[in-house]
Amino acid sequence: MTLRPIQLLVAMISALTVLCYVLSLTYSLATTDHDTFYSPLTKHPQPLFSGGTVNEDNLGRWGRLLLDSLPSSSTPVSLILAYAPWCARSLDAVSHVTRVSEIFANTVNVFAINCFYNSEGSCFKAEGHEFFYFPRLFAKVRSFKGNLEYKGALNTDSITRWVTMITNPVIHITSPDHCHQFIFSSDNSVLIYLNTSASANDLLFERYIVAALRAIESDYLRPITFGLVTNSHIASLIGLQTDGSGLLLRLLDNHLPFSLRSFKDGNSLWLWVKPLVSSLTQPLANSNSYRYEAHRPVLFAFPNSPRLPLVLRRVALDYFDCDRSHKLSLVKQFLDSPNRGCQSFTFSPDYYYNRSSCSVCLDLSRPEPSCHNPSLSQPLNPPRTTRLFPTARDPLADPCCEVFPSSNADCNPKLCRTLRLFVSNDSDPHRKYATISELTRLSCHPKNSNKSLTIYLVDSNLRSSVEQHLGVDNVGLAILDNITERVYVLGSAITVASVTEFLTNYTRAVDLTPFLRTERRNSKSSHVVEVVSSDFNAVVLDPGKDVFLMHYGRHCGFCQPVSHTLHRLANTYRDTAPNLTVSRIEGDSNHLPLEYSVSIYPSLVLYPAFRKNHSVFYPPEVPKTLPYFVKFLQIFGSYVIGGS
Amino acid sequence: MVASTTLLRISIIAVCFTFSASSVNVKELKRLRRRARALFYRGYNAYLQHGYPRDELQPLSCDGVDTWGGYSLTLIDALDTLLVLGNATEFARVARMLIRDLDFDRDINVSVFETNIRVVGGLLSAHLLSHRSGLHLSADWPCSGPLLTLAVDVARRLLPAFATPTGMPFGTVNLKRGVPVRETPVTCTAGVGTFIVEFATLSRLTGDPIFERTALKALDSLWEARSPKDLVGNHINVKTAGWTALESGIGAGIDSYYEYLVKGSVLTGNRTLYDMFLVYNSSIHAHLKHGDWYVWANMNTGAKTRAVFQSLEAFWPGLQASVGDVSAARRTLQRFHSVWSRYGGLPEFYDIFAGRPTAGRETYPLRPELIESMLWVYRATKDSAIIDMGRDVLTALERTATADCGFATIKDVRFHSLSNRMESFFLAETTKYLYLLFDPDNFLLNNGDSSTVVPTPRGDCIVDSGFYVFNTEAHPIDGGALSCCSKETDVGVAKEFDFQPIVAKYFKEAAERVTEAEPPRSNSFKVTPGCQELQRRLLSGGSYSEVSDDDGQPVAVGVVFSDVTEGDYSEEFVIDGIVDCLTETAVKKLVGTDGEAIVELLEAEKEKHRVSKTYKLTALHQLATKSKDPRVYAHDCQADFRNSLPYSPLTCPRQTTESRLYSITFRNP
Repeated sequence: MTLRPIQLLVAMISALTVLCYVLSLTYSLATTDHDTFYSPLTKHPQPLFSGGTVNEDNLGRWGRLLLDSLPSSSTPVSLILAYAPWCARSLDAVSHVTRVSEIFANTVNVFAINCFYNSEGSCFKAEGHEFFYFPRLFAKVRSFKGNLEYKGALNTDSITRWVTMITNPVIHITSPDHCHQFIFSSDNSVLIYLNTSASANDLLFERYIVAALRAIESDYLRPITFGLVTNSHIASLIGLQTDGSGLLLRLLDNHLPFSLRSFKDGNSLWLWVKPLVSSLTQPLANSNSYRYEAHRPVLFAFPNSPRLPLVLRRVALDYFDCDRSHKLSLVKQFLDSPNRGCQSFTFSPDYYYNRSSCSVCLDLSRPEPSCHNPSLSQPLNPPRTTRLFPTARDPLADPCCEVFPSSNADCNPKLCRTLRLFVSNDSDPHRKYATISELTRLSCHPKNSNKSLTIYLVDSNLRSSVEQHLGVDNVGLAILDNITERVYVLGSAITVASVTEFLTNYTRAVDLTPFLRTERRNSKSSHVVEVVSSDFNAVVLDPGKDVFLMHYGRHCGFCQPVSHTLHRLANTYRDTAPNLTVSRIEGDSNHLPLEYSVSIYPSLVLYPAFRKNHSVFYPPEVPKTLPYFVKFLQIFGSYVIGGS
Repeated sequence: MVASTTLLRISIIAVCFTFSASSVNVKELKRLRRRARALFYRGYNAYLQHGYPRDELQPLSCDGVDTWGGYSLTLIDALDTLLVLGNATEFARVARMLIRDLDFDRDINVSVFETNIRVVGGLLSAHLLSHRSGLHLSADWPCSGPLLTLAVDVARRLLPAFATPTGMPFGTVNLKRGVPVRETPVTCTAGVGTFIVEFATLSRLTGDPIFERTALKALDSLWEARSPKDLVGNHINVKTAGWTALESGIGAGIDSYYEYLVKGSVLTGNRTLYDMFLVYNSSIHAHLKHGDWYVWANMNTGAKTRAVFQSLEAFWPGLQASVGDVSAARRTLQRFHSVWSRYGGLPEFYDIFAGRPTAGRETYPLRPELIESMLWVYRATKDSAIIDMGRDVLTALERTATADCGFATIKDVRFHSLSNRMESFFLAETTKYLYLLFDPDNFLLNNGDSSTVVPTPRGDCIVDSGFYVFNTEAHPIDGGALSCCSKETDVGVAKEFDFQPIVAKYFKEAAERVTEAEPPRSNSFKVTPGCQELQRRLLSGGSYSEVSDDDGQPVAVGVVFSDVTEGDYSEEFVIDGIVDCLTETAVKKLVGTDGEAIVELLEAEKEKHRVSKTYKLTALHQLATKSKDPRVYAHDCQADFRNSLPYSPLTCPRQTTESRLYSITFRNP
C-alpha cells in the first residue's frame, strides 16, 4: 500500500499532536510535582485532609476539644491531631492519620486541628503552654480525665497498635491456659478478679482502666499488662478469692496482692505499681538514656525480626536467673513447650468480637510454620509509608511482612498464622541447654559483675540514632562496652543458641573480635590514594612502598588545606616516584587498631618502605607546606626522591 | 602558604552524634533537591522578570528597588548559586552580562562590609569557579580574568575606608569620593573583622599585598582592643578604638568576626588568627555559653545582660563543627532548630527564658544561618535527623514565604504575615545551603578525594580539591587556586624550620630499639584473676605485673612495654585491658576515690579534650598527678618527646604515635 503525500502529512500531523499531548501531559505532571508553593496561610489556611473520616478544623477554632471531656454522643475513644500547616512532619502525618481513621472508622472519632493559627489559644490551654513542636497526637478516652499523648513514631502501624491498646487496655482472661499465657508473656502484669454481676463493680473497673491507660501512656512499647478475671474458678487458681482483689505479678520479684477498693482512684493504683516493677529488658525510648550508663556495658537489641524480642527474653531469663528461681524456671518451661511462648499481635480494631491475631512463637521443637486463625474481618493493607529514611519497619506491629519478605510491598495480613520460628538448628537439645546453663553460671559469677549487661530493646524510631552512635549498620545485637569503648556485634541468625553464645563469649572475654568501622572502597581515581580500614594493611603496610598517610576527619576545616597540599605533592611525583604512595584515611568512618590511630586531625605519618615499624610522625610544629613535605620525605623515606 | 601547626582534636566516640552509618534515602534526597531547586528558580526568575536591574526584588508589589547602590546586587549575589545547581549556561550568560555592564565608578555611598561580602565575595567566587562554566578563560587563569578585575576594582574603592588611625574601617564609603565628610566613626565589630577571606584572596591572586595587609591590620587593632575578659563589644569607634556598645555575644554586630578568624586561618595558613579565635572561644565558653544556648554579657565584667537567641547566631554550630567541636555543635543546632519547629521560622530575637520572640523582633527575613549550620553539622556527623530538619525548613519556606513574585520576608513568625522584601541572601545563601544539604555529592562538598589539574604558564595549578572556604555570604573561595599565583610564603614562621634535632632523636630511638636489652620480668608478683587473660597475652610480648596484698587485693600495677615484635599481639587490647583492671580495682583502692568520681572525671575529660581512645589514659594520668598518694606515679611521655629528653623505654610505650601520651605506674612506696 502506498500513501499519497497528503495522507502522509495528515498522519504526521496527528502523530505530532499525540506527541504534543503526551509532552504536555508529562509537563503538567512535572509541574504538579513542583507546585508546592502556597499563598500566605494567614489569609486562607487550606485544609490538609480531604474530608472523609477525619474531621478537620483548618482554622484553629476547635481547640477546646483538647480541653473539654468527651461529649456523650462521641465514641468512647477520640484521636486529636494538633498540627501546623507549614510543618513537614504534620504533612507526613496526614496520610497515616487518614489511614488510621479508616481502620477505626466506626469505633474512634478522629479530629485534626490547625493549632498554629489558633488565635484564642484554646489548643494550648489543656497543656498549660504553647506547643513547642508539631504535630502532636492526643487521645481522649471516656472515663479518663485529660489527654493521653502518643509519643511514638507517626506511622500507621504504630499508631494503630497504640489505638488498639488504648481501646482495650484491659485483657479479659477467659481460660486457665489464657491466664498462663498472660502471666508468662510479660515481665510485669496486674491481674484483678471482679464479679461482673455486681453493678457497683462498674466504678471499680473504670478505676482499673484508668491505671491501665496510665501504664500505656508511660511506656507505649511494652506496657505493663493489665488483666481481668471474671470467672471465680480461674480466680481461685491464682489465689484471688475476694471480689476486687488483685495481684501485681513480677517476674523478677515476689507477687504483691492488693485490693482495688483500697485505692481511691486509678491514678493512685498506677502510682503504686510504677515504682515496684523492673524488667528483663529496658525499652529504649529516649536516645539519651543509655549514655549515662558510662560505667556499665550495654546490650542493644535492634528488633529486625519479630522473634528477636522473644529470643532475647528467653536468653535474658537465663542471664538474670542468678538465684535459680522456681518462678523463672516455670516461665522457661512454659516458653520452651510447644505452642506456648507465643506473642500475639492484634490487627483488628474489633478486639472483643473478632480476635484476629498473628502470633509469633518461640518454639524449640517444631520447625515448620503452621496456620492459625487466618480469618480477618477486614484485610488491612498498610499504605506504603513515605518516610524520609528507611527506618526499620516496626516488626512488632507487622510480623507477617517479616515472614513473607517477598510480599513486603503490600503485605497482606490474611497470611497471618502462628509462626513457629524455630530457634535453632541444633539437633541435640542437650548441648543447647548445657550452653544456656553455662551462661547463667558465668553471668552470675561475682567476678564478672563488671561485665553485666543492661539490655535495651531499641525502638524503631531511635534505631538510626543508636546505629550512628555505635557505627553499626543493620545488625541484630550490639554490645557497647563503655569502659573499653569497644563494640561487639551479632549480625545474622538470631537464635537462642547464637545469642547465648554471643553473651557467653562476651562475659568470658574470649574469641570476640571488636567491630571496627570501615567504609567501602572508594573508586574515585586520584593520585592521592584513599585508604579504608579494610585495605589499610595492603596499602599502608605494603613493604615495598614509602607510604605518606594523612589522617583526617570530614568535619575538620584545617584538613582541607593539607589535603590540597597532598594533591600537589602527589601531582609533583606522579611520574617520577613510583615507590611513593600519598594517601589519606578518613578516621571517623574508618577505625584502626590503636597502634595506628591518632588523636588529632590532621596528622601525617610516614611508613617507610622495608622499615614499616620505623614509622614517623610529621612533626606538628613543622608547617604543612609542599617544600617541607618534600624535605620530610627526603629525610625519612627509604627511597630517594628529587626536590620539588 | 603554611597550613602550619594548627591541629584539631577529634571528637570522642562516646559523645553522641559523631558518627553515622545510616544511609539517607537517595530518592527522597533527589526529591528534596528538586524542591530546593524550584525554590531558587522561583525567586530567581521573579527577580529577573520584575526586579532586575534594581538591587532587590519586592515580592508583594512585583517590582524592583535599589537598596545597596544600584548595581543589580541580587544578580551578583546569586551568580554562583547557578553553578551549584549545575546551570553553567545561565552562569556564563549572567557573568558576561555583568562583565559588560558593571561599572563601580559611581558617586554612591555603600556599606563597606556588605559590599565586600556580597560584591567582592560574589565576584571572586564566580571568577574562581568560572572554569566550570565554559566561560572563556585567560591563559593565566586563575591569576587574572575580567571578573577578578572587577573584584579588584571595587575592593580598591573600599580601601579609603581603612585610612584611620587604627586601621579599622569606617562603615560607609563613597565608591568615587572615598569616606563621606562627617561619616560616623562608630562601626560594628563584624564590620571591622570581616575582610580577611576576600582580601587575602585578592592579594594572593594578584600578587598585590595591600589587601591582605589592610585586613590583617584591622584584625590586629581589634585584637588589641579586646577586653581583659577576652571579649569584644559590638560597636567600636574606628578613630579611637574605644568601645561604644559593650554588649558581647556571638550574634548581630560580632558574628562574622569570629567566623573569619577561623576561615582566614584555614585559607591563608596564618596560625595567629586561629590562636586569637581559640582565646575568644574559651572566653565565649566561660561567659556566654548557657547550657547549649548562648547569651549576651558585658564585655568588661562578663556579667550576663540578655538571654536572647538571635537568628544571626545560628551560624555558630557550623563553625564549631569545623573546628572539631562536633557534639556541642550538634546539641546547639538541636536547640536552635527547636525554635524553628515552633514557629516555622526564626525570629530575629528569641527570648530564651520567656520562650517567645522578643517584642518588635518577630520578623524572619529568610536568613540562611540555621541552614548553613545544618549543612556543616550534617557533613560532620552524617546524622540523618539533620536532613529531616532541612526538610522542615524547606517545607516551611514553601508554605509560608511564597509571595506573588518570589519569596517574601516573614513580618511576624507568630502569624506568618509578609513584608515586601526579598533580601539578596535568599538566593545567594538560603537556597544554596539548602540545595547543598540535599546534595552531598555536590562538587563544593568534595572532601578532598579528587582534584583537577589546570596547566598554566606558571606550572600545574590544582583546583577543585575540596579546599573551599565559604565567605560569610556563602560565596565559596577555592583556596587551592591561591597557591597557583603567588610563591609559597611561610606566613607565621620566622625562620626556616630545622629538622635536625628531630632527625637525630629519631635515629637515636631507632638505634635504641635494636640494642635495648629485654626488660626484667618479675615473676614474684601475684596476679589477680580478673587480669589473668591480659597477663597471659602480655607475657608473650611485653611484660606486665600486678602486685597483690595478702588479701588478694591489688595494690600496685606496673606496666612495662618493651619493644615487642609485631605479631598477633594487640596493643589496643593491652591498654584497654590495663585500664579495665585499674579502674575497677587498683585505682579505687589506691587513689581513695570511688568509682563514681572516676567516671565523672572521665566524662569531664571527654568534654574537655574530645580525644577518642586516649582519654582514659589522660584522665588516669591527671588522677595520678593530682593524687597525694606516694604510691601513684605518673610519667608524661609526651613531655619527653616535646622536650627531646631521652626515651625511657621502661615507663613509656613506643613513641611512634602521639596517642600514647602517658604511662601510669602504681607502685609500692
